[in-house]
Amino acid sequence: MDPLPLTSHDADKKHPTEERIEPLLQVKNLHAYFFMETGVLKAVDGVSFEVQPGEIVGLAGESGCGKSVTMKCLLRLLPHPGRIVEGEIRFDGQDLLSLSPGEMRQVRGKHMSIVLQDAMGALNPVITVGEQVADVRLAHTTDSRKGAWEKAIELLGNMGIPSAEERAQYYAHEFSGGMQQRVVIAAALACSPALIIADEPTTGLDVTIQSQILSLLLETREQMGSAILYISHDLATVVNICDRIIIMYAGEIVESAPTREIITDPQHPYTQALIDSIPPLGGIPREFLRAIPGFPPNPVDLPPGCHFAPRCPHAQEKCLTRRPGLVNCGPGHYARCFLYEEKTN
Amino acid sequence: MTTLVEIKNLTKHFAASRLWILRTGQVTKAVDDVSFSIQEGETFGLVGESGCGKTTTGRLVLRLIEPTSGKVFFEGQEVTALSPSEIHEYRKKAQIIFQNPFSSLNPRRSIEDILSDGYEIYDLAKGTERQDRMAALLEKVGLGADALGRYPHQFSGGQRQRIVIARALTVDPRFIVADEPTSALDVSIQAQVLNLLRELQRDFRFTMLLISHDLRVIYHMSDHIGVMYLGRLVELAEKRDFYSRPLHPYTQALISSAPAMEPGQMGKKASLKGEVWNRMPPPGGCVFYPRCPIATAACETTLPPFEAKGKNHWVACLHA
Repeated sequence: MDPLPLTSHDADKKHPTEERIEPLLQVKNLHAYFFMETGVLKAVDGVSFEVQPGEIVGLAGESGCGKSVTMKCLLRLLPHPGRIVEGEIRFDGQDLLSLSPGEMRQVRGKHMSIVLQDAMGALNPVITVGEQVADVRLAHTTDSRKGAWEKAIELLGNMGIPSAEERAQYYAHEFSGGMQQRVVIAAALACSPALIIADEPTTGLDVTIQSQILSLLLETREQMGSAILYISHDLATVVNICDRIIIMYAGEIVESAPTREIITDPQHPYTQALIDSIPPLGGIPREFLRAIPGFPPNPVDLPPGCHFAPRCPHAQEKCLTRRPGLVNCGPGHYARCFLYEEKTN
Repeated sequence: MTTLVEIKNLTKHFAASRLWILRTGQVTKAVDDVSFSIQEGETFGLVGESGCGKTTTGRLVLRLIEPTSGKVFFEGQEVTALSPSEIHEYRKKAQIIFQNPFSSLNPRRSIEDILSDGYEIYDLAKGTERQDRMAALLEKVGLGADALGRYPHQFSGGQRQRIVIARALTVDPRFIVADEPTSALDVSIQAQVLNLLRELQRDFRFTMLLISHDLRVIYHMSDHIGVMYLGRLVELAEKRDFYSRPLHPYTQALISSAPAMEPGQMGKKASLKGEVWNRMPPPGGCVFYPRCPIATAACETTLPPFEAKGKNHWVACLHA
């Protein structure tokens, strides 16, 4: 599927009722809080986004911005004392938050699967990798044991694991980190899910292996048409594989736009600062990076106005007291900043 | 410029590994015949993937571990031949910043205790003078003097790394080995810490050996860059040459694998096939042979010499 069409800003500013396919995933006004002794930690505070079928959407932000908590909400795996206090998650026409635990188990692994950062932790150390992939088939399809095993070998082979038939009988510790991640991806793809959630799938891998795994994810989309929600703190990898990028900061979405737009024309000061703080490779060397001063806010005690205001070079008085909404600033481009509200008025 | 650190044919072999993959009865050549020199005042960047021996090299230079063979010179003095009391003096001049600021600070000691060690061990300052110096140092690294009475858990990762940097600076060293100083940090905090290191290097005039797997960090910070692969230095170049004229196929692969800030690049560039541990390099041949896209029969049997291919540009490849 092509990335969303990139038209110029002035055309189609209102971005009205184009004919759209039903989104695969629709998150509306999601609030997930952790109720702790020290107070209420607002990990996700009013997040709304959509993922279209076959689309690769990147969810980027720094640690503690709520990207992984959002992922856990989607899978309904939010640990205690976390709770979804408000919001709606629609996936493939169903309301995920109203499903029973049993029904939810049928969604996970079959229609929506996950690839986590820590592949060794995701794999069972005492079961062969082939069985673990086959187990997904056994749980969700009518495959026989033999059929599931054969399918597992096929999947492992497709993931670029050499001599898959033999390697399927190996245990996780006998694989390198990159190969373990290929096994995890094979298991995630076992039932051709409509959505794969990849949470930092290449963090901790070497760069040459990272590019292999990212290429593998792209091939997967080409061949199976699965949508991917790619979650990472590493903006460079997100830019490389995603059609559209959502930037999160302190529990909320600060900007969302097609990839090229967000790189060439970032609107939110945080997005701009995040891009600037990545050390450039090649080009004229700069003596200093444009770092963002300060630290992200304490999620138990968020600032009353814009969450980024205390670190923002453009902050005005109203930013400290009022929370800006997401403003449409181009086709498919939204930013949560008063600056843009002014420009449009 | 004068040479501050010189490393000659440095080698470290570790016997029998616990990893099945390496349990071949042979030794692991963590660092194998590595030679380079670091000029006074510069930042020398050492880049490579996990297991390439870059951290071991850093530790050998500080003599935190003993080399199997080879020599390290610091200000012309042979570090590898120093007596224990001389080592004590050497540590005052050469300090280290570790990767993980969560494990490199003792959680039971206050920041004051942590910073006092250097002054105590080297008998540098006492009483109010020490207090003043510590406060000034904390100010310099972007923390207030009130940090002194606090404990490591009260700080975030970025702040802890500032404390680790301050600790390294208490003895006013001439040389610092920074081993992955920002890889545990978020990108916006990483930028702060890299800027801080730059600033401090200007103010305190120390020389730095920066070790990282992150090509962007290495490229941004370093004057000279060395690339390691499976224990060997495969290329050494000035910053500019390194990026515009990489000669070793592994360096080229590293540069092209680093994700560019450009949409849709992934998959267009040829990525390196295989993994480091898939096939061990042939004995006596080039270490990169099993994964090299331009390898020929000669590469299997000949160890490429580390040769000069231009001003300050060395490479170990038969085809470069």
